[in-house]
Amino acid sequence: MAVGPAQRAGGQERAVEETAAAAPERAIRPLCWVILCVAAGVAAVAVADAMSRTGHRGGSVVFWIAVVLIVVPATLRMASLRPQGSERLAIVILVGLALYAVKLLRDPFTFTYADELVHFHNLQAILSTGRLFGSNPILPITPRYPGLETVAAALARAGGISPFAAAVVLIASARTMLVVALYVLYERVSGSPRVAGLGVLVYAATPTYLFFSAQFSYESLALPLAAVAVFAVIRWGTAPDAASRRRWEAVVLAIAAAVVVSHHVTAYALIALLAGVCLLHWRLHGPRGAPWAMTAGIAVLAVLWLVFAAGGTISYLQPVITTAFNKLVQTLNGEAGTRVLFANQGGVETTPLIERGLAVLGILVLTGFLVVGTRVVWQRRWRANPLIVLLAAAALGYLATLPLRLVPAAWESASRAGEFLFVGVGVTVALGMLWVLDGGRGRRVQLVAWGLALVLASGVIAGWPSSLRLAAPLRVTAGGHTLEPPSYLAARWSGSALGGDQRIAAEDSDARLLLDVAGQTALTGTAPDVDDMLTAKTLAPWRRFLATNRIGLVETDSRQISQDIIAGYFFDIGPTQQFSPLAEAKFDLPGVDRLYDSGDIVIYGVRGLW
Amino acid sequence: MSAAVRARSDLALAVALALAGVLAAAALPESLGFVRVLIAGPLVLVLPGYALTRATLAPEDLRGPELGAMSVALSVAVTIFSALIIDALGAKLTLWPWIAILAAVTIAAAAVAGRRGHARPLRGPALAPRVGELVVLAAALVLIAGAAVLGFSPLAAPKGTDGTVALHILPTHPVRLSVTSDETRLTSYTVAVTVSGRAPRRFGPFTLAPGASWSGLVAVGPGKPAVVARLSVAGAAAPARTVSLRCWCTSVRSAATP
Repeated sequence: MAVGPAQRAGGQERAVEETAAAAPERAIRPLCWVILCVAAGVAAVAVADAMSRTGHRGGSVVFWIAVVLIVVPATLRMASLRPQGSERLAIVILVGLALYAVKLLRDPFTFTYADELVHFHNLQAILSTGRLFGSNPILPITPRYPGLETVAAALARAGGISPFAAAVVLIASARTMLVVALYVLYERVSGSPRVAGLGVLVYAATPTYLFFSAQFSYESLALPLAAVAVFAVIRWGTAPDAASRRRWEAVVLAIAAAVVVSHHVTAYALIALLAGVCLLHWRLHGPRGAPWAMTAGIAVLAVLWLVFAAGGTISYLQPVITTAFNKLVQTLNGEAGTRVLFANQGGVETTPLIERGLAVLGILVLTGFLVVGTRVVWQRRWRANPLIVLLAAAALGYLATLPLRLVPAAWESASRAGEFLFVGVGVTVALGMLWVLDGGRGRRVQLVAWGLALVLASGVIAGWPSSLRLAAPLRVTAGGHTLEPPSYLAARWSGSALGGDQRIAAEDSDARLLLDVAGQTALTGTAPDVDDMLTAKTLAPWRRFLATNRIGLVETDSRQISQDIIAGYFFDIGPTQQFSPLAEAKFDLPGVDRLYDSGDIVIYGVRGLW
Repeated sequence: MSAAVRARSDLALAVALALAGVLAAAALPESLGFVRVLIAGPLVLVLPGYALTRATLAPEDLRGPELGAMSVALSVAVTIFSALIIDALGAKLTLWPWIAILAAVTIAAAAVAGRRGHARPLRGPALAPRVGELVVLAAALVLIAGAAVLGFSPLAAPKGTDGTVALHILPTHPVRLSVTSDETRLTSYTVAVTVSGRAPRRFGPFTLAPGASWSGLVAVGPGKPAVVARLSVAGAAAPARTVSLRCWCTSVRSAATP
């Protein structure tokens, strides 16, 4: 496979790096200051979260100061010609882990993201039963891809730490692997450590990077593995002899097999990327020298896994894709309305006006750098390199997905696709930045640093509701005791008093806690249609439903926020929006035990209705 | 193990760290989890992949960061595949089979790498920080430690936080009633229990601190009489919580610990 390094940029930088290498001991001084700034940023995030957890205002301002402290000094240094490759690598690892700390400090006690709670149940099941491929009533496909939970379980077993700590260590390691993999990938593709470093910092502007991709979820491990696999494919392409190529092939297949076992969409994205490389290589250089065998091998592994271990994958993914496509068509035809941008899960616009302005400005800046970077790819004759052409195409593809954020059912697919497409955005935008930096004198380094900060801020704003960016009260102290929110209290009681593995229907966020905290077989959502059963005002039409699904317990929660799988886990501050009282009252029947009452939350024993 | 894995090589260090990881996992209790994970964690996340990379690829093929990324990725792959094999063989994913496989892969791959002449001598750090730089790094460490302490500590509830109190009942003989206070201040309660519509039996008033619980047993006689319990907050007219047993049809699993 043809992999050509940067011509002009690479040549310039090698000379400078050789100069820097003459006095390596002093290279640590600027890095020390970058470390101090990043540490100050992490401390500021902790302060912002503490302010939010205790109900003080102003946390948002401190949060943005923290982001600037983490990103701007690192970018200023990265944009300079002086750092060696090792310093650049240290900076991207530092920034990667600091941005992971932002997520960790938001949820320091336990997982609170919808997918995390699902995967955490799988991890606990592996640790308690010692077996893989258990069941998960909320997301049944997840135990069929046990890669993430398997490694976390191994860490918990070997390290003697809690499952939560093991999961945190694993995701921090995966984040490190991702930034290092992207760095070496970009460096091999562009031939420039400076492009590599800037590219990894740009990748941090992926809207899902700060929070969503930092969660304990299968994609958070699979994507870094896939990045290493792509890097190994590049090395396979530059291997000097057939024996060396075979060894690289073995490495690629081993890592890709781990991706296949870990996450469906990442595996398919990897196959699609390699297939694209093969086809482009064929178009540009003929069929010889493309990674056909490896691509076919990974595709065979994915199909085998699909057939023998994860047969439900298609029925899981198919509705998501078809619904997104149908909604897109409906929106284009004017049959359906557009989605409210910057909205929370309930569709309410909560992002302040200034942040919305910054987000739009950031996208414009990103587009500007991206256009310049694409032009650089074209002008420097990199168009003969299939991989870099594909990465630039992916970058442009990312821009093409932005309008999908206006489509109600397609925005999530577009957002998830962004994680993959942004691999192309990273290197292409970095090439655009390098063009700006090398274009003349003046404050171009500062321009690039603040531009990148703006792009990253734009990603943060677009990627997560502003009202949920900072920590919410989850564990609070009162009278020398630590208290948990009422939904945790109910879940713990159900596990300790009634025993685990009870079939219990509940609202979305409550069900996840019943699954994780109490080990219950929690049913929620629309399949089976627990949502409508819970909000119905009469029970008569649902008695058969309860019997058919062998639901022995029902947990009602009168707070509408209990349907919010992002915000529904915390203490309420002040009054909350409530469902109709009839929804709960319909269970107060002679054949029902009313077992638990904490006001908003009531647990009923409904086996008598079967 | 191959004699080619010399005492002061990277492969010898990998083998030594793998054995240390096995020892730590075996000997250190979970109460020392912080130390244990530092020693045994690399056996899951780094060492098998490092040894396999060295066994598969010539040292000149990879630079430091590339070796690092490959090591973690292949270690993760080995950990996943070893779990799949153990599970497919019908064994349980307990500590020993797992850690034995990871250590065996590390040692075997290091031996192969040594035989192929892929061992590299160990080198000390190239950088020697000055005092001023160490002071800056120490300040950074203090900031991170401060962030950790602040971030991982439960803090006081914001003003207006909605605490709650939970009343619960279990269908046992005698019936077990409990109250758990999730309020943010001391609160007094009374509980009134009615069995088969007879005059209520009262408990309390009793005062619970935040996070504290009260429980009581109510003899209800034979059979499955209707039991209704109501909790009132002291000073309030209407009951705040109500639980009841009307059909006694809830199963309490043996694992439950009321």
